[in-house]
Amino acid sequence: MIASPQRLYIITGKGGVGKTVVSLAFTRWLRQQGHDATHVTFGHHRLQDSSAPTRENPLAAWADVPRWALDLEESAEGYISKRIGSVLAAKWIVRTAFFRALVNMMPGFSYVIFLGRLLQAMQDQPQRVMVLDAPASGHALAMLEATANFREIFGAGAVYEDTQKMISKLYDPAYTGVRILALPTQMAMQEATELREAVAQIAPFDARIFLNQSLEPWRVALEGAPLALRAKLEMEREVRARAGDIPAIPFSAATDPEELWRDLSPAVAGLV
Amino acid sequence: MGLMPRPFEIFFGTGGVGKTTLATARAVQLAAEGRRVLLMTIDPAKRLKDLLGLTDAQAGLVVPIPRFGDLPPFAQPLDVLLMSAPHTIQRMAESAGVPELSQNRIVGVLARPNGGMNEILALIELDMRFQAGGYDCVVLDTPPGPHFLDFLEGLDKIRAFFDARFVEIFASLGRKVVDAAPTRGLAGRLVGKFVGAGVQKLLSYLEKVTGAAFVEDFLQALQVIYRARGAFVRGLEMERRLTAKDASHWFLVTSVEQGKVDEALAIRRDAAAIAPQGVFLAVNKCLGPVLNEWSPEGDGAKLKASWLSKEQALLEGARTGFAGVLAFPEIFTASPLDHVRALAEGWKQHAHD
Repeated sequence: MIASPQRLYIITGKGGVGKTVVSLAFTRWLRQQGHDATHVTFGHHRLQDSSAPTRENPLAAWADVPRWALDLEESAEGYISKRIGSVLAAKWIVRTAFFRALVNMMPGFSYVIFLGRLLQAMQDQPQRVMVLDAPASGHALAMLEATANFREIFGAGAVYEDTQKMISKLYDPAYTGVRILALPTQMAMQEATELREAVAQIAPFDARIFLNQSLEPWRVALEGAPLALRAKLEMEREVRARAGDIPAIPFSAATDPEELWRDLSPAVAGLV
Repeated sequence: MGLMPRPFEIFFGTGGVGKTTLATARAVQLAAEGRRVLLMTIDPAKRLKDLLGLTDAQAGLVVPIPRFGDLPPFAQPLDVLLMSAPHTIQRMAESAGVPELSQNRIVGVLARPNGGMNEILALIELDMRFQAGGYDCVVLDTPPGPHFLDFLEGLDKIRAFFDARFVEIFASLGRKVVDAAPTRGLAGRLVGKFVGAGVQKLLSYLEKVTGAAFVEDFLQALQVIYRARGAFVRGLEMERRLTAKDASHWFLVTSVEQGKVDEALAIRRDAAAIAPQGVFLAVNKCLGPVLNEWSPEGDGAKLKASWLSKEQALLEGARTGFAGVLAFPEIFTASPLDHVRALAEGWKQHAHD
């Protein structure tokens, strides 16, 4: 077992950088190291009037790891019932049109509910490591900021104390790690750097950038390729030269899950 | 279906696919043809911001740019608006005659750049810009959502919040609070006077866990929002305008690299409900033309097959259900100016397709 990983890994980055695949592979790797790791996603951040089916990511099954898709309604209910000491009243509150409209109007609120539920579960299970397949950049910022925003909104009282408690975990770099994935282009790298800076403005997070879908291992294969394709490699090289020593996860052309796992597992170890 | 420009050109999709660059290129192309264009964008990368001549200090302001990079100057300047939630709230407060809206503590926190109200505020800002008038075309780069349709849900959110079920609550707040100049002890008075027993119960639960001070702040925020409801609800007007005949183009932007083939195809049905005239799928960063010049063996063949199969799945799968598929090639340069220039050229070609 590797030495004390963080308890919560938040995997983020722009849309389409490969958060889902990487976070699944990382969860699988942690489990192989003997950690009780779970892959976590946040469900729809709206309280639906009817329960709309959520699409299952076709990739989710391949990693064969425990997965937990948090449900907003269940999370809100769980928290409220604990706070006011009544499951019935909590059920009623969550179903009032008023509460629904409030939550739907303020997506930040739903992030606090999700994170609160997640941190609560982690407290109940002190061995568990959670890998959060987090929303993309801007929304990840909203998510990370939300707890502080709502602490400020509440100002005092029991909910304030709770958000304070959440913050002491969430914003603790020994507890929470933020892993930002970027594709190996200048623009993507710059955006990742901006995200890391924005994250640092919120709290002293342990936030690190990883280049995903690196073509470097394909250098030989690309030797005879048209100039334009080899330019992709050069772009990656420039990004690395400029950004310093950034760890990379290779591009995988795998056609089956086991091959994908072989391609990714050595690299995702670096996320820890 | 041609690509004649329309009054509203909406770009949506998850981030990281070049949505902002593609929207900028569209605005540049339309302005270069002599049209009066407004580009509304939310979060361009710094280098694109530099190129558009924007600084963070100009957030929330309409900035006319006479030319883009070293392209020839436009006949009429291209207006660029870097959206800023606090500025939008400020304008809403002014237009509704409710200055408290921009002073309210809770509204202020929610209107922070990452406070989570971006979609709603973008719709309202769009409406305000439209009212200000004078544009042939407004190009809107919507806030990226974790799900493709997040931006469009802004409409539903406004509707739900000002739903008839709340009118009573708000009306009650309005009568009791607006008329009787709000002072301290407000929450206590209000809670006592609420007609709806449900609301009273809800607030008493709230007070139990948050304390009376928050409940008071909260009620004040609701009341202020309700008084300024006109400014929110007019955002709904956009729905009618956007769906009017020939009023808008919708571009769902995705990229081959992003590989979200399933998600892009799954959206077709939902999109039809929102944009009855159809949604264009703009596929960015296509490698096909370059890949077809390459006949590698071994690992190279594997790499090529992997890239090509994703791209083909996307382009082929999207042939039905979308108003059209617009492919844009991957631009192999680090310069955002060259990117925009090349993509603007792509838009020009698609117009003639």
